[in-house]
Amino acid sequence: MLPPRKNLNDALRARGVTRRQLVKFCSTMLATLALPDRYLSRSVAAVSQAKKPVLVWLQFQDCTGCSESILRSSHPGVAEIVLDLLSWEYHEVLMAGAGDAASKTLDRIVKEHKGEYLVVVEGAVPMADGGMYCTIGGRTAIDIAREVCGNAAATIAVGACAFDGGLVRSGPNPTGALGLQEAVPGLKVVNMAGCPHNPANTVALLVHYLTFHDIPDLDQYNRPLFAYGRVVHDLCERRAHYDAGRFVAEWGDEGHRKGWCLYKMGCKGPEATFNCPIVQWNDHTSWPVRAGHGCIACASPRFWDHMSPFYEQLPSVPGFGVEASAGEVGLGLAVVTLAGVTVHGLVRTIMPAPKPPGSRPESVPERKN
Amino acid sequence: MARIVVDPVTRIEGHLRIEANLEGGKITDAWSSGTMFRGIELVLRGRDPREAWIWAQRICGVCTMVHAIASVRAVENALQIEVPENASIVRNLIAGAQMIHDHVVHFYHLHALDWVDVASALKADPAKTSQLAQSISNCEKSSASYFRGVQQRIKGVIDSGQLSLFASGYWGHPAYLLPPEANLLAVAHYLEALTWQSEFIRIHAVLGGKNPHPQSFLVGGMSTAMDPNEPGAVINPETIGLMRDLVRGARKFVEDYYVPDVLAIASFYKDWFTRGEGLGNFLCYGDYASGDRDDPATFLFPRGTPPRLPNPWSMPGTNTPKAAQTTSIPPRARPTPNTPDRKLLTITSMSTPNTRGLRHPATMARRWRWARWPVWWSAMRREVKRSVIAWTEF
Repeated sequence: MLPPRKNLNDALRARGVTRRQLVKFCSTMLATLALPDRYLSRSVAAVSQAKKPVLVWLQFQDCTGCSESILRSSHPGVAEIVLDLLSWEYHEVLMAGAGDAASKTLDRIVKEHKGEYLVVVEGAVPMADGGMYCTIGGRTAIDIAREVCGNAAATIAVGACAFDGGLVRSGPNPTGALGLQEAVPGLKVVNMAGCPHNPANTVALLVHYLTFHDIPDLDQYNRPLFAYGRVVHDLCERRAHYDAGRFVAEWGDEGHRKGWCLYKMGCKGPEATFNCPIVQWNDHTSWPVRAGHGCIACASPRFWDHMSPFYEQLPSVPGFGVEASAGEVGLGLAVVTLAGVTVHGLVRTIMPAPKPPGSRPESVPERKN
Repeated sequence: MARIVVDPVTRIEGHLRIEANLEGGKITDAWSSGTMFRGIELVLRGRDPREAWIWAQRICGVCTMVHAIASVRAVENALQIEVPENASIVRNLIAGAQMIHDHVVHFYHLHALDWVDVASALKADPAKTSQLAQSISNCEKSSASYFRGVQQRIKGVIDSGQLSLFASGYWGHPAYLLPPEANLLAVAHYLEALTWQSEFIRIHAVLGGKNPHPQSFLVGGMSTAMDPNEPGAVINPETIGLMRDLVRGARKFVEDYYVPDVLAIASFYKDWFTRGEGLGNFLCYGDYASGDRDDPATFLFPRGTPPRLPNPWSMPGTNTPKAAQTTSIPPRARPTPNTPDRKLLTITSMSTPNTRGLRHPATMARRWRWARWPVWWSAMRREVKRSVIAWTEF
């Protein structure tokens, strides 16, 4: 916590942050994490520590999309995150030093802040042929991951590749790539799945960690429930159209212009868990379904192999909505009535001798109760 | 002879290693190697061409979307699919936004720390920095108090001993040539650009759902349906207004911050212009068609070998950054772009592909699905069975 002779206001002023900005930032984070307001003061105190936790961002078999994604963080802005919230000391795509200076920085952090620093990993870890498909400073990715993650206070895997190997691992997996938690067994990893990860969730996770020195509840894939606990289909703004049976049938048709459901165009929302429709992207501007394209379930395990082909309709989705059920019941009634009428006609044709008038015909559709 | 190894090369996308032989202060030979391999070509083999772009896009997340558009164009070219004009416009908007964004991020966040000494900014006089800023641009944030605030913030970071991204820098190295005032100006704009880039790229979120990796391309068009009377349409008056504001803001940023800063900083490093230079000129494929994509005459960026431009500072009377700012590439004579048919712009959907005798592959695949009658039949039987049960329980 705060060292003696230095109070919170001094620490904030030294960093050019007003108290108002700080409280606003913490409130946003609490909202993302769905935490009650009573944690605000605790969050503010944690975030404004005089000694900032050190963060190491490792990049392995990546496209740097997850690094770019964290740069798109808007509330709080990325400048606040890297300068005020954390001491963001090793991140190849942004750091000042290169070569020896970079390697020495990493060594220093591992030695001086052993067991205290945070690690974010982006990209898959290649395991084939001794891990030669990704080397940094002459060391293999798996070697670096074991040492740097093994000595960290917490490890966060961002993006599909670090989560489960992502695209790099998809068939035929030329480099024997794995996600971090499989590559380094025994490591406790928080997975921020997605292609890329959503910066709002990752920053919320960091603030949660700084506030409570603990990680939030996780699902069976070690993804935080606050971000991955709900199905995209259930949160989708086009869900009403699905329930009403209004589907886009062809790109650019009337339904597509009116924002109807993209289920028949291959949307994987019903099998995806992510808070994408709620948090959205780029300062809450939009998300893929609002841009008229189906969800590809990018936060789901092994989605590249399991969810592709992305333009094929999901085979069967349980739980049709009210109107659709009514439609089904109607269809069923129609079919049964038709069958009854047909049987009735057949029976009348086969049995030429009609019963005397007044008696009930035998071939009324059977109703067992 | 000394051998230098730089690994990792930082502030780039990917993993790069440079080895160089040094003799008498000169590099005599050098080798570069990419030290990461994913094999995306192998992963892509045998995939559905309609979705190949989603995979190819992941080649790079910094130049996100450029590999997607290349993939989509390759498939369209192979199947001879003609893209509707509106879809071309949307693609040009997405690609243009990417280019502007990438230039700014590349200069400030990937490149600038090679030229800008962050620690030296603390020695700057904010009043003089303000004068410098006002002499090179019309930028609004140029008061002495603004620069004093930035300086205080950087001082706070450096005094805390936790330098964050700047922790591994080469501060104070004699290769840094900028005076303290220029360093403070550049550091201030480094932070401004960090905020601006996340704001501006919302244009990709509007047209592609998100950035990085926008998700609205389709073989044959774009998924960004357009309808001026539909709140559910991706492009409607509201989103057009937002994009217009973002583009205006981008223009202002480029004119007030980016171009003056590039010229001001470059003027201190002129001897780097030819250092390590190879042929010194490049082929340009050209892009941003205003009409037919196959007709390079309609390209905003011409195709071919651009004429070798004279060094702006070697021309007489243009030896200051301020003057160099006005030196621009002479406009290339090109036909006036066809005025788009207004009716087409407002009513035609973005994405219905106008194929040359070919159905859209997605539609063809859907038709094929209905042709698989055994599947259809078993589904019908299941439905009938379910309804009979419902009936009997009624």
